[in-house]
Amino acid sequence: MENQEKKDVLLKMEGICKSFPGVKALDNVSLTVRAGTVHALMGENGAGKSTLMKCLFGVYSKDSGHIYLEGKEINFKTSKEALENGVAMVHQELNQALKRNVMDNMWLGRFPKISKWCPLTSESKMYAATKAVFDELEVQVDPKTVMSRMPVSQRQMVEIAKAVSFHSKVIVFDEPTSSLTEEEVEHLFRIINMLRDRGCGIIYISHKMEEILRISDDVTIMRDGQWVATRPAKELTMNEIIRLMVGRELTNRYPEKDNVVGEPLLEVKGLTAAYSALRDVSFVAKKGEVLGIAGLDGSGRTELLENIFGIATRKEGEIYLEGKRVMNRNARESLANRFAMLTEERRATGIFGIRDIQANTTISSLRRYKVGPFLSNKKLSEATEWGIRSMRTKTPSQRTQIRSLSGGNQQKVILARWLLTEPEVLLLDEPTRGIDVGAKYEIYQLILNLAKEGKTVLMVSSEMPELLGVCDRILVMSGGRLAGEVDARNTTQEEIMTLAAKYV
Amino acid sequence: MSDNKTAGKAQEFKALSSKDKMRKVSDLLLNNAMYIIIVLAVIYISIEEPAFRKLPSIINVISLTAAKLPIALGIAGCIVLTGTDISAGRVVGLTACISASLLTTVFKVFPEMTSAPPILVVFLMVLAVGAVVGFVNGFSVAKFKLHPFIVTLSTQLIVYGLILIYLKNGTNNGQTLSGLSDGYRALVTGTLFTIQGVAVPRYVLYAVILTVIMWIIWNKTTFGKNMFAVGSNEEAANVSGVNVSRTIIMVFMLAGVMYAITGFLDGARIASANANTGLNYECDAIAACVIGGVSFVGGIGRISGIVVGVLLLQIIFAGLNFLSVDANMLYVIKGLIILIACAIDMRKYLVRK
Amino acid sequence: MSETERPLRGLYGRVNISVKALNGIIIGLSVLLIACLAFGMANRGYDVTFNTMGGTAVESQKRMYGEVLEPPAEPTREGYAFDGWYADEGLTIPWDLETDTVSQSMTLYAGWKAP
Repeated sequence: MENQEKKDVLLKMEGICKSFPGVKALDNVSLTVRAGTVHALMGENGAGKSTLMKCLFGVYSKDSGHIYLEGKEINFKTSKEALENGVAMVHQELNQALKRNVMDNMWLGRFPKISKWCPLTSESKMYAATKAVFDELEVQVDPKTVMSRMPVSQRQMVEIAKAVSFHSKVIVFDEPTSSLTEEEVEHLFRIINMLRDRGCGIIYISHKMEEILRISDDVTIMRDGQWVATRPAKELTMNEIIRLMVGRELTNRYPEKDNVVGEPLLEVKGLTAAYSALRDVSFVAKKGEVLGIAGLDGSGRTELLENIFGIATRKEGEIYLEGKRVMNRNARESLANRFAMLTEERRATGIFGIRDIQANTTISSLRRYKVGPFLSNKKLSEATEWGIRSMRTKTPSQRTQIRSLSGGNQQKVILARWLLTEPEVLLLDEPTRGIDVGAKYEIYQLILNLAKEGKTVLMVSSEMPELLGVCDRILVMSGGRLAGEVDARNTTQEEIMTLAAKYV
Repeated sequence: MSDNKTAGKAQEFKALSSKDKMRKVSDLLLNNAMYIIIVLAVIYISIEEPAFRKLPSIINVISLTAAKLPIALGIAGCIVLTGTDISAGRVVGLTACISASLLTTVFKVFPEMTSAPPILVVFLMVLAVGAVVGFVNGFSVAKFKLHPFIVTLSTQLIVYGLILIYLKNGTNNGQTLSGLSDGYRALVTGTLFTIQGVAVPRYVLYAVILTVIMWIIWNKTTFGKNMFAVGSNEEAANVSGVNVSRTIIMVFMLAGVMYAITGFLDGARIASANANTGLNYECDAIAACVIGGVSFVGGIGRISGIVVGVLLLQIIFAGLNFLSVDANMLYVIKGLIILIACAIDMRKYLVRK
Repeated sequence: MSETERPLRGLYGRVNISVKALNGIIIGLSVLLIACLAFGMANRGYDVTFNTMGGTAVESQKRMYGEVLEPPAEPTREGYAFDGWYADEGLTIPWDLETDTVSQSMTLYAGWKAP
């Protein structure tokens, strides 16, 4: 303890307030980051973490409050200014020039010159400098690789290396592990530890509690735009954090499993994709069953669902529903065959951001609301009302734009959209990604309720505890192939990991 | 109900801090800058030229609005899909020329013809032409994923070429087509009813009917809902089981049909047609849509907004015409209006920073 | 509301401009528009020019909306007799100097016939 107190305060944010019309997004929030520590920032979606960071980087201008960097008051206008003063951020969503190579991205906006008198950029200097940073961070990437050829995890490493190359004193990591495999997470943690030892202050934003407890020194928890607590990580437990975040006790992270597995419903035989690595996948899913699909990123989990649903092109393979062959050549056909699919990228392929809740809820089942050739407003709003009530969606009205809801509520609207099509088979791709703890529990409950109604749920997830907690069986994908199948009740994370690495 | 709402809003407003109030007011002013300027200009004009307030002038503005409404209703669909359609004006030209060449008394384009075909036949033919151009546009946009701007730029050129070739046909030699048949003229420009001696032409009624039909299509059909879904997020629409290609093609075809109707009406309205008929109509229509709140963000727009947009544009231009403002300056003004409308539209949907 | 930063689609998909800058643009353009309106209203009148199609030149006129033209001097051309003014180059729409009123800037074309 006393050792920690000696470390200097690097960044201090005091009494930050920020209002948007009608909403107080930040209410007197304070955050103190000491040099050589990792400071975790936690809170449910909408708690104000991102807004706080945006105030730091000058994306938003704060209404009141002070920010001090090494004792000096600062007020950045742009994130470029922040960077130049040693405050960097590794974003959750990568903004990179994908057509350019790694070193171009690293030095974008500050290309090294050949010399003081020659304004041409020096490729060799750039290469050497990039290489040096990479060696330091043990990143095995050729600086001349084109960005789009690299997996997301490596691109993230480049982003981190870029932050490091600015000699930043404070580095903010915003959900850095959401697209990383376990191994890559280890690597990231090594880098973070190295930066910490060097005396950097790290702000680490994540939903994953296991990670937070492992990596961080201090934890600040926010709720509804307010500061709730700042504690040393050592004194916190997972349940304690959840309690502070949600403001109530969450005794159980997963609802009780009381679904009954019945007869086989869906059979997939020799599914092979035309344009992805998915090869020869066969399995059977039963009525009332929650079938998990585990695997590393890029192991073909998403592709499997996309091929079943017909939004990716199949090369070979047959799908049988209750013994009858179904073609599922596109989403419309799958819909008619009573399949439904919740996609991974909610924003890109899930929501219609500027449309209201009603439009978002009813779009897949429009023909059910017709009176004669025309749509009936009454039926539309009844269906939407059902969706809001049964999902317990928190929304001011049916006419609210969906983009103003939190991630969890958006997910509930999309789930309602699919349930209104009365599906037999639900394909859920990362149904709880980017959703806060309280809403996750509700989604689990919904999934189990669906299973209880005799529907078949296929659920892809990167979070293994979630699969173990909700599913009956788990299929493990590896390198585009089915590596094995385990019973969720008597398996371990280790067993799944071993299978996931089978064909890598 | 609405009274309650406004009262509630007023109370809400009172509760705000003075800083928030300032922002609310300036938001209101800026988001409606266009309307404010137009209304002020119209007030000025009507003071300067009292005749502008008189019934004949009002009927004139309404007729002009009716004439330009169908094309705007068509183009709005393309804008909702985050696209645009710059071939609109030329399609109007082509269909006007076809109508004028067939429903005529002189048959310069087809010298071997002696009597005009039934009006209904010509009308359907013209609709088919519009639908075909729309199909080409829609198909290219939907299947080749080309930007609508490029696609419609090329169809615009093609259609213009076709107009010129068409007008060279027979003994016409590229001349303006006139001498339209009485039946055709009467059907379009005949008197609907008269108010205090001022005749309201029939095409006003047609425009009203088209508006109602489009309102139903946009709000009461699966196709309309699908159109908005595709406009706001194409990928999500696809996953949700919307036939994205068909929706896009249908929107462009519907737009093409609307241009064709505009052309059919315009031939008789102007009483002649030539290669320049319909020139720049798409600019007016796009401007009207943007003023009326059909956003380039995609997936946003209302029929009532379009009607208001067209009406406002026609009022201001009729007014300026009354003041004898030179046409060259009108182009500059039109361009500025589009720019401002876009900037305001952008402002509405940008994230507040 | 704090987390509403969703990427826009459509033509504004990549817009990167602050609301403040946009406000400036809107105000600037509005001022420009008003200036143009004012300029247009200050310089009222339509120019009517006469194309004599090879005959002697005729002076152009400036007229207000709804006015008739002042009868221009009749042009002459060797070997032809003047046949009146037309609104189009194809000489299909004759212009009646006594009843037709001006509603835009335009050019009138002289019609000639062999005597």
